[in-house]
Amino acid sequence: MLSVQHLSVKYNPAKEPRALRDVSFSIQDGERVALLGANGAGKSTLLLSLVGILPAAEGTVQVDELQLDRTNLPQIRQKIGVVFQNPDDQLFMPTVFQDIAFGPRNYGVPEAEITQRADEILDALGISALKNRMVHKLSGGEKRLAALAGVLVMRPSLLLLDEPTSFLDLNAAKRLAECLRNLKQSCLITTHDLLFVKDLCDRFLFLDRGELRWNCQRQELAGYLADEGWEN
Amino acid sequence: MADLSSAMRSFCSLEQLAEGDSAFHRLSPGAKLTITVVYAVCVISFPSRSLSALVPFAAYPILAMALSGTPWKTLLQRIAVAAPFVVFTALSNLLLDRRALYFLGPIPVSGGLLSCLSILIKAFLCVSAVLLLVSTTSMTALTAQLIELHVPKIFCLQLTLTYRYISVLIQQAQQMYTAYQLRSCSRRGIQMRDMGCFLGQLLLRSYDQASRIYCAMKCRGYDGTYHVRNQPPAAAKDILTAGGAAAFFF
Repeated sequence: MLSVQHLSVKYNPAKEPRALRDVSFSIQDGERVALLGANGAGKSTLLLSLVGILPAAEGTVQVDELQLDRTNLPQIRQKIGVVFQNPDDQLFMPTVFQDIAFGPRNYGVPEAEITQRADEILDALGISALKNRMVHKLSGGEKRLAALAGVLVMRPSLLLLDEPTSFLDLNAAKRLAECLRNLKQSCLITTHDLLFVKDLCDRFLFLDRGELRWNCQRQELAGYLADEGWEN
Repeated sequence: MADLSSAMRSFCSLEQLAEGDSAFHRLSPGAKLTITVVYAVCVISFPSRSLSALVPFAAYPILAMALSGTPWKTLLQRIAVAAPFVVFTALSNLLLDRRALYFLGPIPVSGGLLSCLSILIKAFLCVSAVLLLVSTTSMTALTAQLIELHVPKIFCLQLTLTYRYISVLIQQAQQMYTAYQLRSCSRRGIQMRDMGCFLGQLLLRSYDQASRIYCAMKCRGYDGTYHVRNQPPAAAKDILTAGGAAAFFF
């Protein structure tokens, strides 16, 4: 589904250091992967480089059969949906429905189908009542789900979620985890919240100062965390 | 803090009014927009000294207010925000044209006084009409209608984004102000020496947020073109209402 090979990213193309160095991993269909790491490790940078917002200095990103380059950004961005850390960065239209319709309209989806897709997604996430609500009146949890709906409506095959539990209380985080568990899409979730991803994700990547330190299955996680001095 | 909170409340109150359901609310955004534009053009087109001709135009805001159930107090509060700019312009006329045209008993009535009153009345009427439009029409419907009228899409997108992010900006300013107050030994307001840093930080935060919003838009296929749903064609009642109102104003 997603294959990243020797990816390096620099914020300033003319200068070192690199924000990401020689990162390689892959995600299979339907797999949920957590991307862990300290602040400034390069997690958000990695997400933005997977959709071509930050160009790669070296290496390749391949989604299904499509290799990321400047010519196919619209197709790549239709296949990969990004949910940003702060929902206020993402929900820029006045109402929830208007925001959900923003992406499909850019891809020329007919209006009747947009409404149908929006209703389905809102129903699946349990937020149908928010459809015509003004975005700035929503709570943090509602904004997070509305932002997720705005991405899911484009039917991406891979979801990238940047710190999805920030601004959420425990109940809202549980509700979000339940929503993500019911999705068929593959997910790459960057987080500091181990509790949130421990049971939700199948695989765990650990990024340290721009380098991928480890890549393990759920059953191996405890051992790796103990090595980092993070055991409970 | 109180000022920012009240700004936020007043911002939300107009929006709540727009969600109402009345005969005036149910008119199509296009009809209301046409009525407002024709009304403003007619009001402005009167010569600066013809005050009595403006009197019949007061009927529209009064009628619209009654039909839409918009509270006059709310409307007057919003008009008061625009008042200082208008009053300043109007008062300058008093100084520029002091020649007496006629006398009301012992009181000389100058051309400046007449044009001052004319500016005040025209501004009051036009601002009332615009506020009545905004308080009975959602911003989404209004921008969609502007696009339908071939107003440049980039302008409509700017309007939508500005409208959406006013609340975020107010919240950010409020948070920064609270943090400032908590560490400022109970002084009231922001000290002048700190004002530059405060506004600079607010600007930088806004700039950062604008960059992130643009990234989020690109991630959802934005390529510089703003797409909106086509508006349904105007109904007969909307055309009749807009036409009747325009005929009355003319």
